[in-house]
Amino acid sequence: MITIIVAEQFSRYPAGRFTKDGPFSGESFRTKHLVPALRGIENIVIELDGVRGYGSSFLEEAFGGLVRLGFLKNDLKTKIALHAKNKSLTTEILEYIEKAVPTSA
Amino acid sequence: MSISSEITWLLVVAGWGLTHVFSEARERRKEMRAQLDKLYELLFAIEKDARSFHRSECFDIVKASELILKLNTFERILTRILFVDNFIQNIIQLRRSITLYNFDLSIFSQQALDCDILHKIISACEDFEDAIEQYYLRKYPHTFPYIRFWLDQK
Repeated sequence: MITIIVAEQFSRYPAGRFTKDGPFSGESFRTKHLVPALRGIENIVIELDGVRGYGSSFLEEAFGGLVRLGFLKNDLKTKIALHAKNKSLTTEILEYIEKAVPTSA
Repeated sequence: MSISSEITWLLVVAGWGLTHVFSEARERRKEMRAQLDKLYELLFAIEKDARSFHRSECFDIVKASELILKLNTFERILTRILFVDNFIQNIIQLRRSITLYNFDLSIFSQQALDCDILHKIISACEDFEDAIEQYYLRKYPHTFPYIRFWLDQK
């Protein structure tokens, strides 16, 4: 199991959807942290607290983007444990995983 | 001490107790109203800033960052005042209406007054205000005893 603390290992100010939007975008978080962890290790704990807020475009690209890349929704739901004081964040992320459509489909 | 004087004392204590409880309830209601009014000020500021951001001619990274900070602050304050589980969908609706579309440098474009994004922002703010007021009215009804002591959280 691996733990990713967003505020410490990525940024306290994550923002933007794509890498061209900035260095701490959703795409960047997905590419640098989520994808390598999911390909290498069974389970991930993501600590979302400590950040000065998340934009929905960041969350959608980071987590919904995993489904578009080909990760299975059920695998993501079982492998990723989201930790946050604000339940709205975990609910919103799970909605993005659920609603995302695989690109190849 | 006679039975009649015991009853008198009992009535006095019970009366004092009831007065205290309703006085506390009234104070709590006033406190809650004041806290909610401040929360609404922040909500209206977020709405105004969000509309201004999406109506801008060019992408403003400072305004975008401030909006995310304000949304985060709004949720933190809401958590302190109310049972936040009742408002999770409202929080998501609000954040999404402002920050899901047209919120990034690479895709930003100036929005028209009657565009879907602005409409969704206004709706999200109105829905949020309505949901909070409904909760407040359930907790502090207009009729006697003016408070529900054991309000179900859902």
